[in-house]
Amino acid sequence: MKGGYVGKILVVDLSNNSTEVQELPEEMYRNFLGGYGLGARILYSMMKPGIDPLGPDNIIGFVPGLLTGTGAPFTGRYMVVCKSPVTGGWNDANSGGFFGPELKKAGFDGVFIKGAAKEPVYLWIHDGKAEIRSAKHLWGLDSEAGREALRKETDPEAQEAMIGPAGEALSYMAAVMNDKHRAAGRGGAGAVMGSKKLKAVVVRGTDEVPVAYPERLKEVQRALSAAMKNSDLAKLFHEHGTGAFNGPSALSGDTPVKNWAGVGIIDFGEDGANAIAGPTLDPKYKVKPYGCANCPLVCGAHYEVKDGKWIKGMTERPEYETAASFGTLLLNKDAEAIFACNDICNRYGLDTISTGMTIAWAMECYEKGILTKEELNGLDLKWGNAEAIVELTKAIAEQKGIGKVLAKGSAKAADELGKGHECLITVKGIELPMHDPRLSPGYARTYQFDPTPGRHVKGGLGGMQLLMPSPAKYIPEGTGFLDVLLTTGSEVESSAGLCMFSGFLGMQNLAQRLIEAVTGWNFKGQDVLRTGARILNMRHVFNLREGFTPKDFVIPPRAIGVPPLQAGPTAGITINAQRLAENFFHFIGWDMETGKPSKYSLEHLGSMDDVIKDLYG
Amino acid sequence: MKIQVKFFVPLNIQVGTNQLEIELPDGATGRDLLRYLADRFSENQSVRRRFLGGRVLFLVGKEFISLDSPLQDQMTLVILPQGSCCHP
Repeated sequence: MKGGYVGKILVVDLSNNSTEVQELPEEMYRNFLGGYGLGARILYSMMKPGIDPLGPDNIIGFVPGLLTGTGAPFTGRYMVVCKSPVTGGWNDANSGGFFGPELKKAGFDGVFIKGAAKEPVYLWIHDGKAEIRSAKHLWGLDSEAGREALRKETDPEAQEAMIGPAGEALSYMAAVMNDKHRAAGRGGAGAVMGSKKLKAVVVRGTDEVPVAYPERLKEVQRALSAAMKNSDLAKLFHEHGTGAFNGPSALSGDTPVKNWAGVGIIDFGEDGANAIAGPTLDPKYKVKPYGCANCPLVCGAHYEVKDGKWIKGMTERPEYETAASFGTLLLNKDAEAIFACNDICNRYGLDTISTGMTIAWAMECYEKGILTKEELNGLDLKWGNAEAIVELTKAIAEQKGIGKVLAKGSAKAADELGKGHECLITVKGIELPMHDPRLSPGYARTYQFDPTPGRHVKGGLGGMQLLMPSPAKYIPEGTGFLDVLLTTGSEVESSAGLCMFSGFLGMQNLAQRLIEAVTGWNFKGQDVLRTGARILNMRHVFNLREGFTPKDFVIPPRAIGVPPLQAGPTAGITINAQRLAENFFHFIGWDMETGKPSKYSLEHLGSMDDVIKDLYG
Repeated sequence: MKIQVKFFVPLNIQVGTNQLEIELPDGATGRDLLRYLADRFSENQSVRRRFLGGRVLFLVGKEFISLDSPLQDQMTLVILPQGSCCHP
């Protein structure tokens, strides 16, 4: 019995204006689920290695999770997959909202777009049909105006994945935006769309996505509802979103401070931590909550700034990563400046993590005299200067003056300017996110060696270690098995389309139970491990085929406590990142020198025959 | 001895108060305080588990102190919940 997937993908070639519907066998879904699992499998087959990420040979895919669109709770997610212009390797970026379910209901488990149009276009998909339409009149519109215009000329209930002006101008920090303010933010997927002159993929669908066992799905939904009622933490997140813990994270060593060189309690203070905390801001600014499709948690919120310096009117509550990137990281205690930066990034379509981190890099360079005021558009880019932070965010969005250089991200800016490399906090060119391995050492392995480096949403030990006492979590022995287990579990959750916050309710094996109910498959614990490992390997071998080895992935010393901080809760801590990596590589079956998965492990995983041939002849 | 306990956001929301004055026996440690708080807020299971599991940080002025530290009469202690956006 079929359920969860519709069995078809749409392949579009913008160079010759063609569209083709391809059917996929059930085996493909069983082995790679959906989302970036399915995306990795398809891109490995369709794309040649060595191509220019911003050339017509790159292929960008929009792939909802396996469970997305079925009504299963927490599954409103889709993933954008492509070769990253930032890292030059595999890229996937994940977003919630309503685009993913709509694409499934429009009849496709994914859309893959190759080639490049000569003039701006958008793709209009509705109930199994696809048209490539001119977007010349839409080019230059931001994510809000673009959404309104697209809905006006397609369907008032259409959903879009689109780029703003940042993607059009090929910023390496450009995100793919949906629902005006949701972002598949990381890795420069927006620039890939821009390079194809693809303004948007717009979808409208009215079909039902099949569910194998609707009663079993309802049973899980009932259990989740009961768990929600009894969960104090779920209520906290419903009220205050990911910002609920902005305050403690700023002080505990979780949030990096002052471009990863500072200490929260000393440099940012209790007053700063309180100033950017969700529960401090919500009573003043929150107007109403919003959630993604089929989400019982509803963790987003609309804010209204009545008489602000930068914003006057409606905006969105910043997520934790954004509040940390434009707040604690820059020693900025002005919450309305954070709202302004968030708003600029959303409208122009910029990744808030990389943008905040690039400003942090520029600030440190300025404070150390590496960059001058004249080089920085005349801005006095001192730590905590809210005015300068907002102005520089605008300059990056509009690519004015130094903003044109910084729009490429901190690593490429350092290369172009020929200085400041010692202040970079990047792995393979991408900026690290807002959880510090010095508090949660497992993040070091994840940031360094996930096939998409520098991501906090990939699996591993880091998240769990946040709640663990010292010193046990700093012992680097015997971490491999659990690291692999948590990573493969995360691969399955993401590829199924589940939000990582579904774990808050403490329901055991939620992904597995939902997959069984929706697809009708027998999907047990060993299937989670094997499928997750297969997906992880698929993403990993994409990078190997590009010629990467583990030596190409270097974690910045500062992020692992080299040298260690002298004060604060993580004072004196240095992480043994090498040992954590070795443990992980050993259990997943990858060679530490070459990165190659063993032939045996690939054979054991199955459905990797072409990979085995590529690696072993 | 008497100590002032401040609950840092969002723990203050969960326990329903910003601050408490608490009387503990002389020689009590941070762990004793957490056991006291777990009993006092026993109706809220997630808060109780947090205190009993030691998933908090103690801040005195600008210094973090160990949960095993002996507490001092008249001290003011800020309790931060350990956690993050992804792992509360």
